[in-house]
Amino acid sequence: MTASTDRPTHLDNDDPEGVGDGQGLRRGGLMRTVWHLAGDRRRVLARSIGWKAAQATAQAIPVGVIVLIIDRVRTDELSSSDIGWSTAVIGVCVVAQWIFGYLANRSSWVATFRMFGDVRVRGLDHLRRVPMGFHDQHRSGDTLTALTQDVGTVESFTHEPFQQMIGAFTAPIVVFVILVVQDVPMALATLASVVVAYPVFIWTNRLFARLGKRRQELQAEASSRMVEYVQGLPVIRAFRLTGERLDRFRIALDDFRAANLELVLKITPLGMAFAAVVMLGVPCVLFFGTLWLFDGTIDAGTLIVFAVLVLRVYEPLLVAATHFEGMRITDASLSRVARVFDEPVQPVPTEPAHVEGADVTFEAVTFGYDADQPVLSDVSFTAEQGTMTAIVGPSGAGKSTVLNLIARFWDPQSGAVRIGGADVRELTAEQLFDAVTVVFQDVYLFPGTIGDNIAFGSPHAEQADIERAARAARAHDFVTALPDGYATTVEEAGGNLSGGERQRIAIARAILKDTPIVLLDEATSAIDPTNERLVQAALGELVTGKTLIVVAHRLSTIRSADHILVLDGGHAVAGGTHENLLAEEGLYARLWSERRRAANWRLPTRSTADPSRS
Amino acid sequence: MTATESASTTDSVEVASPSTPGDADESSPTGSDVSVASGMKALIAFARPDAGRFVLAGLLAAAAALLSLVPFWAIYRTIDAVVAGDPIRNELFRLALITLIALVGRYVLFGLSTAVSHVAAYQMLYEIRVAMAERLGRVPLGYVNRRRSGEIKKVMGDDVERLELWLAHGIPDIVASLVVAVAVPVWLFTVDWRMAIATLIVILPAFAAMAIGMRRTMPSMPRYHESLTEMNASVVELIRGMPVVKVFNRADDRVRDTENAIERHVTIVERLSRDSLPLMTAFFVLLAANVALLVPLGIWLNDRGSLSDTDMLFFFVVGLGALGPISALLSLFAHLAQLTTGGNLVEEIMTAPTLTDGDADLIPGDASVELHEVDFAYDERRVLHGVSLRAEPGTITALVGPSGSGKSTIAALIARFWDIDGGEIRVGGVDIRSLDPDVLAANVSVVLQDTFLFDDTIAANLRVARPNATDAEIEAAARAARAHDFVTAFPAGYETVVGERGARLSGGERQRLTLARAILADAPVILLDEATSFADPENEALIQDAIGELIAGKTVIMIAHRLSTIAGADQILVIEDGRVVERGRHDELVAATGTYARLWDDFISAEDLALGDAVRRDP
Repeated sequence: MTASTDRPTHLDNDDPEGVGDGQGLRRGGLMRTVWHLAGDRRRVLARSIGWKAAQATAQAIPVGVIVLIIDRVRTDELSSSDIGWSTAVIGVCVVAQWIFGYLANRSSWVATFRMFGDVRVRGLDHLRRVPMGFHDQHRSGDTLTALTQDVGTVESFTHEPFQQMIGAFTAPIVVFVILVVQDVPMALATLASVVVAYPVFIWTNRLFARLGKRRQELQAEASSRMVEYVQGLPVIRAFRLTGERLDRFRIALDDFRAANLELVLKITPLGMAFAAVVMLGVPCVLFFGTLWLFDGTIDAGTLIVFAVLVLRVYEPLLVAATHFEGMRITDASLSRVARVFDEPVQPVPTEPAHVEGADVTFEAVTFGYDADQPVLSDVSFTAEQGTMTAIVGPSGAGKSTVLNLIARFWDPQSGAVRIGGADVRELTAEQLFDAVTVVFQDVYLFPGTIGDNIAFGSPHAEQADIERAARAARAHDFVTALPDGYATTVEEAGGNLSGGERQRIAIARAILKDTPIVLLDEATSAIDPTNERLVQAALGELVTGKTLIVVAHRLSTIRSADHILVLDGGHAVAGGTHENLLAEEGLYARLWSERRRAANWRLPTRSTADPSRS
Repeated sequence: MTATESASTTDSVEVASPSTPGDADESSPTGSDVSVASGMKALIAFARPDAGRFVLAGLLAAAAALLSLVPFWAIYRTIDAVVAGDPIRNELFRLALITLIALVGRYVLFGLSTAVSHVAAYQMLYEIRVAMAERLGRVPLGYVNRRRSGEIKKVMGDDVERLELWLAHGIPDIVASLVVAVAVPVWLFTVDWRMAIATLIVILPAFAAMAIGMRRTMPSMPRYHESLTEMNASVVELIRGMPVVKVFNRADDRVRDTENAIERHVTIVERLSRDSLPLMTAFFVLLAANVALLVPLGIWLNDRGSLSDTDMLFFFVVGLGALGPISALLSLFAHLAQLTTGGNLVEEIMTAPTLTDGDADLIPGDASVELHEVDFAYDERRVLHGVSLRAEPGTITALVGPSGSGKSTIAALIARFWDIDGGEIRVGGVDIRSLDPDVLAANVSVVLQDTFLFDDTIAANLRVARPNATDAEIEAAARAARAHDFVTAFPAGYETVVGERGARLSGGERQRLTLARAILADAPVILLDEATSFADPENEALIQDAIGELIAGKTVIMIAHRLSTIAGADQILVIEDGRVVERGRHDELVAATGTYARLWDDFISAEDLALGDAVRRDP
C-alpha cells in the first residue's frame, strides 16, 4: 500500500490524544539530555565523572611536587633526602592516575553502551506504537539513520569527548584554585587571557554556525548532484553530458568548494586568534610576574609557581575547545533521535472490544496527513461481509488512504471506521489484525527461510499448513524447485525469485493467516503473462468468501465488484454496481471508457498507421 | 606542547566519525601493504598538481611547530634566572616579549599552513570527483548496477569528503607533531643525555602496553564489528518491515529479537572494555609518568654535583611535556587507514574498465539493428546464447518471454551498457564497438520504465536532449508527449522545478516528460523496456499516445508483458533462457501452439480472472 500517490509527506497531527506520552528525549542542551538519558545509569555516569576528576587531580599533584622542589632549589635546601618523599608522592599519583583513569573509562563505557542500548530499545518500542503510516518509506530512511548512525554518534560522544571535556575543565579549575591561593592579582593576570579569548570563541562559534549552515546547504546540494549523476548516468550518457559537461554537476561541486574555502579562510584567522589570545597569558604572566617581582609585590617562589603552572591552565582549555565542533554534530544527531521519540503514538485500548461479523463501515470519515489538507472528506460507505468493494477514481483521489485507515495506518480526524460494528480505535492490535490482512504492493520478505516467511502471521503453523497455503497461492511448485525447498532462505533465493513469485509468497502468507477481511492494493506494474495468471489465481484463492476491499486497476476486477466506490478529490462521488454506474454516465463512465481505451491499445505499426495498407 | 593545533575548529563536520572502540579498523577492510600502496598512489597522482601547496603547508606548519617550543624555553629561562637569585629585570621582560612574538608568529604561520592546505585539499577533492564522473561516463553502463551505484555514490560523496580531514588537517598536524617529536629529544640530549633518557624511556613500556592491549582486543574486533553490523541490520529490518510485522501481529517477538541483538552488542562492548581499558589507560598514564623518573634522578644527580641546577630545572619544565606530541601522532596515524581506504575506493573506480572509444568518423548507414550470434555472460553466468535478430529500419520488433529470460539484456546490449562476449551487434551496418559512444547514443534512444529527471525546470529537463532547442520545439515535443496541458497547468509552466528525481510530479507525468525528451532527441532507433508498464494507471491512455508519437517512423525494439499491445508488431521474438525460441508475427505464433501461444493463453485467462467471482465463491 506504499505505492500510492497520495502518500503522506508530512505529519502534523495536533490531535491532543496522540501527542506526548512523556517519552520526549530532549531536556535542554546536549549535556543535560545525555544526563537525563542515563536514567538508572546516572550513578555510574556520575561515578565515572568523579573518577575522571580524581584522575585529573592525581595528574596535577606531581606538578605541585615539582613546584616545591624548584622552590627548594631556589632556597638551596634541596638534598638527596628529598628523593624519598617526592618519588613516593609522584609514584602514588601515577598509580592513582592509572586506577582512577581505568575506573573512569570503565564506568563511562559501561554506562554509555548500556544507556544507548536502552535508547535503541526504547526507540524501537516507541516506533511500534506510532501510527503505521509513519513507516512510510519516505520517512523510514530518516528513522533508520536516527536509530543506527545518530544514536551511535551520541554514544561515541558520551564515552569519549564528554569524558575528556570533564577532564579538560577539571584540571584548569583545580590549578586555578591553587593559583588564587598563591596570589590573587597574579591569578587574575592568568585569567585575563581566558576572559579576553572567551568572546573570540563565542564569535568564532557564531560565525561558524552561520557559515557552516550555508556550507551544509551547499554540501547537501553537491551530494544530491553527485547522487543524481550516478542515478541518471544512463540519461546523462545518452545525452552526452558526462563529467564537467554537465553544468549543474560542475557548478554544484564548484560552489561547494568555494563555500568550504570561504569557511576555512574566515574561520581559521578567528580560531588561531582564539588560541593565540589564550596562550598570550604566558607572556602576560611573565610580564606581570617580572613587574611585581621587582616591585616586591610578590616573592620569587610565587613567580615560579605561576611560571610552572600557567600552561596547565591553558592547554586543557584549548583541547576542550576542539570538542565544541563534535558537540555541535552530536547535538544535531541527538535532535534527530529525539524527533523519533517525539512522534505521537497511536492510542490502543487495553480491553478488547466486541466485534460481530466482518462488515467494514466508514462513517463520515475525514482525514488528511496534514490536518488542514484533507485527503478524504466525509466519506461513508459499507462493505458487507463476504462481498467485494472496488475503489476507483483518478490519481490522488484518496483510494489507498481508504485502505490505510481500515488497517489503522492512520486514524481519521473525524468520523469513524468500524469493523464488525466496533470502531477500529477500540480494537486491540490482535483483534484488528486477526480480522484484517493487507496485501501490500511492495512485497516485503524477511531474512529467513521461505517457510518462515509464509508462516510469518501464523507462527504455530505446521509444515503441512504452510504447504497447503503455498499450493493455494500457486507457490508450491517454484518453492520446491529451489535448492532447499521451503528451507531456502530468502537471501539464497535472492535473484532467483521474480516479482511474481515474491508476490505469491506474500499471498501464501495471507492465505495461511486466513482473516475474514482482505485489503488489496492492486499492482500497477506489469509482470509476464504466466506470472500474472498465477498471481490472479492465487489472489482468487485468498479472497474466496472474504470481505474484500480493493483499490482496483484491472477491468475484470472492477467489473466483477459487488459494490464500486468512486472517489474524486477525497469525496465519495458515486457508488453502486458497474452497470448502475455506467448508466449514470458520470465520472465512472468516463474513467471506464479511458481504461478500456488503454486496455485495448495497440502499438501503432506501419500496417495500422498507414491507411493504404489496412 | 600540543602540536596539533586543532583549536582551529573548522571543517571536520561530517568527517568527525564517531570513534567507537577500534573504529579505525572498520574502514580498512583490506589493510595489506599492496592496497595501502595503490591507494596512496592514486591519491598522489591527484595531489601532484598541487604538490607545491602541500609542501608549503608542511613547511609553514614545521616553522610554527618550532615556534611553539619558545614559551617552554622562556618559562624555563625565567625560572632559572629567578632560582639563580640574580634576575635582571629587563632580561625577564625580554623573555616575555620573545614569547609574545613567538606565539603570534606561531599562530600566523599555522593559520597560513591551514589555509594553504585547505585550498589544495578542496581543489584535489574537486578534481577527484570530476575525474570519477568522467570515468563513469566511459565505463560500461552495466558496471553501475544497482548494488554498485550505492557504493559509487558513497565513495564519490562520503569517502572522498573524508579525505579532506587528512589532506587539509593531517598534513599540517603530522608535520608539526613530527617536527616537535624530533626536535625535543634532540634538544633534551644536548642538555643532558642521562636525563634525556629518563624523559624518553617511558615510551617503551607505554608502547608495549599499547601493543599488548591491541593484541588482546584484536581477536574480539571481528566479533565487535559483527555484532555492531548485526545490531544495525536488525534495527533496519525491523523498521523497514514494521507495517508487515504489525499487520501479522509479530511485533512482540520481532522487537524482542532486535533487543537481543542490541543486548549482544552491549555485552561484547562491555567485555571489550574490560579487556582493553587497563592497558589503553596505562599507555596514556605511562607517557606522562616520566616525572616519576625525572624527579629522583634529577635530585640525585644534582646532589652528586653532576647536574647543574639550571639543567635540572630545564628537565622539570621542558622534559615534562615532551611526550605529548607522541600521543598526538598516534591518533593522527589512526586516520591514515581512512586515507588509504578512501584512496583505494577511488582507485577502484578510476581503474574500472572503460568502453573503447570507437572511430569518431563512422556513422551508421541506416536505422537497422542487427544481432549476430550474440553471446553474453554476467559474472560467469551465461545469459544469452547465440541470439540473432534483424530489425529493418522503421519496423517494430517485440521481445516477449518470462522474467529473467534475457529480454532486457538484449536491449541493454544494443545500447552498449555492456560489451558482448561473442558475436556482433550492428546499428546501421556498423559494429557498435567501432562507433564513437556519442554517435551511438545519438542514434539509439533507450526509454526505461524507471524515469529519471534532473532536479531542474521542465524546460531544462527537455533541453537535455537538444541543448539548442527553441521554446517552440520544446513545446511541440511536450504536446506530442501529451505533457503540454499538465505543464501549463503549473503556475510557472515550463519553468516549474520538478524536484528531486521529479518528485513533484506524478508517475504518469514523469513518464510523459521522459517521452517528450526522447521525442526531442529524435534518435532513429528506439528501445522500449516495459515503458508501457505504468506507475500511474489513470494516465495510461495518455502515455500510450505519447509512445505512439515517439515511435512513429522509427526502428523500435520493445519489451512488453501486455501481449495485446504488441500483437501488431512486425516481428515478435520469444526469448526463453537466453535463446530465441520462436519468431514470427502474432497470428503465425498463436497458430504454432508453442511458447508464445501458451503465453497468449495465460494472458487471456489472466485478463478474464475476476476477483469478484472468487469472493462470491463458496469457500
